[in-house]
Amino acid sequence: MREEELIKIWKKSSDMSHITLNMPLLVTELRNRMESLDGKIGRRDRREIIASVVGMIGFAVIAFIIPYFWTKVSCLLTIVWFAYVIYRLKSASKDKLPDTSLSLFDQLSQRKQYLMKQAKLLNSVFYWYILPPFITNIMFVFGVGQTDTWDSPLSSVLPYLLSEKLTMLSLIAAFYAYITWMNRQAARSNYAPLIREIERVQEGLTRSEEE
Amino acid sequence: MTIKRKSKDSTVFEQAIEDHKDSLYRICHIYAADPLEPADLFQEVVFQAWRSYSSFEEKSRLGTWLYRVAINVCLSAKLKLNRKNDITVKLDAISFQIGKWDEKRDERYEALKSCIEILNESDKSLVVLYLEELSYKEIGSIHGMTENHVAVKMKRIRKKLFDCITKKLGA
Repeated sequence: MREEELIKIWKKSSDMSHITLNMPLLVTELRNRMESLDGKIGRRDRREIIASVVGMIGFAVIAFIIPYFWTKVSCLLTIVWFAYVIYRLKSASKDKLPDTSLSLFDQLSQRKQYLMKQAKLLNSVFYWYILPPFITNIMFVFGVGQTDTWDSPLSSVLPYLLSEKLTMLSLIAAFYAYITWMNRQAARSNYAPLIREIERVQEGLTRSEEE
Repeated sequence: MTIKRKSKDSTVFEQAIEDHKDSLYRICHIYAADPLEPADLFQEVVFQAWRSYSSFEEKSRLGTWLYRVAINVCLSAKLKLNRKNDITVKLDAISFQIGKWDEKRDERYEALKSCIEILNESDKSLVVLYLEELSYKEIGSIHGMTENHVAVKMKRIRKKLFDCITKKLGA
């Protein structure tokens, strides 16, 4: 078989597929899709911010009404942590998905970098998402004083006895351990295989053929 | 100024898509794998090309640039790299009518397709552009490789492809 024949078979393959493009409608539709995608991203970002702001307001109210000093401090630190999480998630979501108009090699490099950043974010969850609130949780729980010094509906749900404090912290620690494990698992199963696959294709592109 | 350029160029974009629709579809056909149909991939290629069109710097031909977008989109879909950006674009402005092939042509194309499919991903992306009769220089610019490197690689890939297809068709 000759080379021209191969190209002919290839090109003839689309003879039976008739693609009709309605050009005026296509451009309008593409513009609409772009706007709707941008709108979706904007709405998701707003939802994340609103949820965090509600959390911050909640802790600010608790900090204001609760009489125990260390518990107040822990609430204020939690607000700072909330702000940090918003910043961290925002800066992670700002990492753009790779530009499909780059050369294949560059696009794969960009994509690999993006995936590695996402994996790092999940792998380091313990240090920025778990440890800071756990420390503030300890301050909160041990900052709670005697029940008779404060009369409020909130006081009925706070841990006053040492055994209650330890039980609450153990449950919180178990929950945080589970979140850490879930995130590390997601980094391993979602990102690591994709990164390996990209490296394999890149290796194929750069490999010398002199052997 | 930029807005004016963009709106002016949409006719150039439309024309380029019209001119290359069959080529782009052939590439999509090779990369489509269940549950993605070639038509789904084709629509995604058009959408992603439109998204990136404002950054097209006219350093290369618009046609070459479209092939670059197509290879990137198709390979990403194949490797399932788009977790955040799943392929869901459905464009009513594009309609597909797929007819039936005669048996002989079908057999020859299927042999070619299955020989392309056994190549590794980087070789596959080179060979589809070679079959579209792009120059080694253009293929190199799409892949981020030198013209020489493409030539050396293509020599080996062509041999592999011919050996495979000869064996399959017995000719």
